[in-house]
Amino acid sequence: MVLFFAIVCVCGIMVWVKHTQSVSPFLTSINPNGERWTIVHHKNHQTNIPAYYVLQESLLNKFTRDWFTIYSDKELNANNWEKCDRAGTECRETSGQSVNKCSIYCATNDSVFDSFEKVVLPVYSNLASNGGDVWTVKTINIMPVDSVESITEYGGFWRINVGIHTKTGMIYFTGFAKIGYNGEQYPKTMGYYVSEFYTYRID
Amino acid sequence: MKKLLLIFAGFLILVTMLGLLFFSGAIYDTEEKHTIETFFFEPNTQPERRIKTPVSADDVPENFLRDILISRFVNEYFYVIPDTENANTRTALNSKSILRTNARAIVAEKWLENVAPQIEELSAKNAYRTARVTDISKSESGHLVIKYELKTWLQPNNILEKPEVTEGYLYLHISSEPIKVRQTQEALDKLEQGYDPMSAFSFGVLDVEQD
Repeated sequence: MVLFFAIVCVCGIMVWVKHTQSVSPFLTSINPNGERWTIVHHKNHQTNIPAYYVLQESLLNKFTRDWFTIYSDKELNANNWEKCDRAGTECRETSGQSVNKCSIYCATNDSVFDSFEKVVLPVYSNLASNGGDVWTVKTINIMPVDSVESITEYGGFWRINVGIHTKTGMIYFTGFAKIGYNGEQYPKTMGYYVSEFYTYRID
Repeated sequence: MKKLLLIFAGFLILVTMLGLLFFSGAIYDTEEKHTIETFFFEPNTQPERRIKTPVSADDVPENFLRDILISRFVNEYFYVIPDTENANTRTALNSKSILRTNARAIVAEKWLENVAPQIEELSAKNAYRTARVTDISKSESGHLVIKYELKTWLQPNNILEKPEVTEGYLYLHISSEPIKVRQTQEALDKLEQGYDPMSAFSFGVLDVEQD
């Protein structure tokens, strides 16, 4: 009888020991400045990426590329930087339009586009016409400012890091963008639009 | 008859043993033991900037841990992003900020009085500020002397703007407890509730002075 109890106890201890050896890792990511610490994985926290997350990420990716691109072709630049009628076909229909016609304007609100026109465009125009400069986005990194869960079907707050190839070498920007949702006004981007966009040159 | 009794006794012992095994299994299920395993790494879409493989917290020297925790603390103390909600969340009483989880109340009070108003003002103007530790030394009184550099961009989207660079010193009095990952249920709960990963470390700031 004692022997059987001893066997049972040993079994229990074996189960316990096996269990204490299992780990539930919290993978923590730290960016180069040490400013952002993010849990990117832990056992009880498996995150599925929802469709609205991918849509916002995709919209922001394209918007950031359009914002930071200076083409060698004048017509492409003019199309990219043009302001269209928000109720017109350029901002509402997905086919039959010029590839990049009003691409910045149609993906954002008037306030962000005003900032682009007043602060960014004069510099770009000068670079393109006088210097013949061409800007090509080489690297782009987009992630939520907070957790993945902070991105909802109504929008989210994102962080952007961009590396751009220019005539004088690589330049780098970091930035923040808020994505909003308005199904009526932005059918071309499935309702999502860039409601705030702030970038800073960090090189 | 004696043999029959022995068979019954054997059967009874077998049933008891299976019951106890079942009981052990139940303990295994309910008393789940968690361990916090921390690794450091830097994921990046730019392959040339990616650092090697994940490094366990047990495999890095304590000084390295101390330095990155201090960098994180200093950044939390000063950083600004163009989002007033972020500033409001950090200044809220129930904030999950590391200024509350990894520091004494006096530290958060000093921060609220001396630094938070400027953070609120800058974030309302859509400015961006980074903080970087440039040197860590020890004073004669035993305090850590942290030299930091702040870079502030006041005009968003201005391609031509150079950041305003300022330097300063923070004097930190940190806890003498060895720095390691706290293996407690409280630390685990905090991580699961979305607190900063730094809250899992036994790193505490007891007092702070700014110069």
